[in-house]
Amino acid sequence: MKTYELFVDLNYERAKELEGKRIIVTNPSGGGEALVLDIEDVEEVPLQGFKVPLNEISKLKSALTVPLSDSASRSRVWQTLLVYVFLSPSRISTFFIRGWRLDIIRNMILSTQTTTGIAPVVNRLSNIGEDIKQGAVLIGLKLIYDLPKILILTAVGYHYIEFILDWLTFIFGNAFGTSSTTFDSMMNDTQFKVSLAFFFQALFVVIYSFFVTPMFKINEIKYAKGNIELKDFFKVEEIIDSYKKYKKYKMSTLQVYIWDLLVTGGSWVFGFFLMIFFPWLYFIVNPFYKLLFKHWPKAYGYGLLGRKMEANGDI
Amino acid sequence: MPSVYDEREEVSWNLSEGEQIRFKAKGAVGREHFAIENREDDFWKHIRTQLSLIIRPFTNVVALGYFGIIAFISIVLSFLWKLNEPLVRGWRLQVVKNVALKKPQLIPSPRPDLLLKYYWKGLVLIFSRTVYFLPLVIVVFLSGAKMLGIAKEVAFFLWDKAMNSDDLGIGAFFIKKVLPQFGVEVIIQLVVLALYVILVWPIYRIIMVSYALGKSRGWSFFSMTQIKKAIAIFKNHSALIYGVYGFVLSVDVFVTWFSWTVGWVFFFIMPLFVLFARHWVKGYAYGILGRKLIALSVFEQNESTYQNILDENV
Repeated sequence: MKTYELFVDLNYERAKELEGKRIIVTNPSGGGEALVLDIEDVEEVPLQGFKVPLNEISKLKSALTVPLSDSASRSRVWQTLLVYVFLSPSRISTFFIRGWRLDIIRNMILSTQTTTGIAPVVNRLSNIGEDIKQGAVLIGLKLIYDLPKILILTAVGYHYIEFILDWLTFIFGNAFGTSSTTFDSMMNDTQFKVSLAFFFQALFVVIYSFFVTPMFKINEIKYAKGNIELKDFFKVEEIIDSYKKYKKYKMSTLQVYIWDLLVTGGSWVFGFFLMIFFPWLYFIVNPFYKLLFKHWPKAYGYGLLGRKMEANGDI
Repeated sequence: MPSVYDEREEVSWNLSEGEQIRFKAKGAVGREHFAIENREDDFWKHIRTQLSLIIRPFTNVVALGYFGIIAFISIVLSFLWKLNEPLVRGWRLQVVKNVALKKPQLIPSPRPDLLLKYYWKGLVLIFSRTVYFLPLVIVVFLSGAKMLGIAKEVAFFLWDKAMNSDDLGIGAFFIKKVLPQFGVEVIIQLVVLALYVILVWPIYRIIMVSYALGKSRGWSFFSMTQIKKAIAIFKNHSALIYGVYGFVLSVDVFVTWFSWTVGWVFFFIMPLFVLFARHWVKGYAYGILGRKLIALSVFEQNESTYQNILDENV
């Protein structure tokens, strides 16, 4: 007899009804015989407030163990890293790794991991080329989806870049003793006033991101499974359908998206830090960090979301 | 098994919308596998094989002799306003052909009349490449004012560094002086550059392979039918083409970086290294691409059979 931990998305009272009961699952997903479960104990796991980021971090921890958990996986990591580093100077790596992430999402949803594992094989140039092509296509699509946001960001950045950079130099400079400006002198020199326009621009960017990006990701999940084609990314029905799925899986999608932002932001900070203080290490260390701590967790997160949607028959 | 569980009451318990029960087992049940042990996983072996294939053609005396002669001529010409460029590019084109057609001697022969042929074809390539790059150059030129500003800052920075009169770190320099110059122009440039790298350049390379194999003539770089044909080939075999192209581009960047940073140390053998690493390896890679495309019967019509017959006798 095996002991399992069951996680269920219910409120506490409803879940407490299960204590001491026996559950018979008559048609478990994935096929097989019926399952008989005897519930021993029910406890509440809070998923709101400060616990949410901690929950994300614990998910990240478990995501990190997956590539390093056995020797076959570790050697695949090295192979992928070699390809990634090799393609980095020419920037083709950006496209390659994007297609690589799509492959992972696809493998997780379609459960094709029985032969080669979740991570795509990078043995042959044609495999690598396939990822490059997929990546180029996805990046192009995302660019089109994000066009309004990019234009606003460029306008904002252009106006306020001196201000932002002065403060960034101050923060990093003082932390590492390479700048002698003091906080008071910074405040004196700053003649910047937060204008209403800037506020609305920033608000627009934030709202736009939280609306459009998760919806794009759901489109991408559908595309990974093979439900839609590339041109359907611009079809209104598919976009509306993705919004409906976004609403249905609101908590899960937002959790993954916030995780996405945290991981991407962390990677950006790391790369920035590396470029300023250890530029000679940048081309080796940065891809290594990004592969394990940015691209893999992102792909894994969206793969989990896709798997959840697929298990419910929603894609 | 406690007996209380035998007195269960049957309750129908439907999951409402959005509810799901997710199982997580204590132990290693249903674990994700990043990768699974696979007998076909021959990554390192494949790399070793390919490296030896790239080097093996040089293991006979004739090949070394051919290569040495070309290298010598190229080095001599390089002192005359880089006149070796067309020769080297035409030579590389011949490599593409030899590898694609699996000729017994892969290194091209330095017979004088062939040298002229290489030179001429190299000129064709350089001309075509320049025209293909023109739109990108125009876009960069139009935003040239910004670039001049950045160039000026870089120049001042390097001067100050040399005079030790400024202690801005390179990172801080980048933040304070270079980034503020960026604006919409650079975004446009990056987008155009990306389009070039992802779309225009692979098409150019496909036509180049076709030209190398004698399936098309020099002007085909500007012929709409040839370009459309290349686009069709690209669409049907994009994975293979991107794979070779990504590899070649990376080799190119590496060789460029190497010759800029470390090359001055080995300046005597640098031309040899560049000839080998950049031109031979790239030619070899595109030759393999040509070989695979031939095997896929991609080049149906042979427009220049006459030229082909001449080439075969060489």
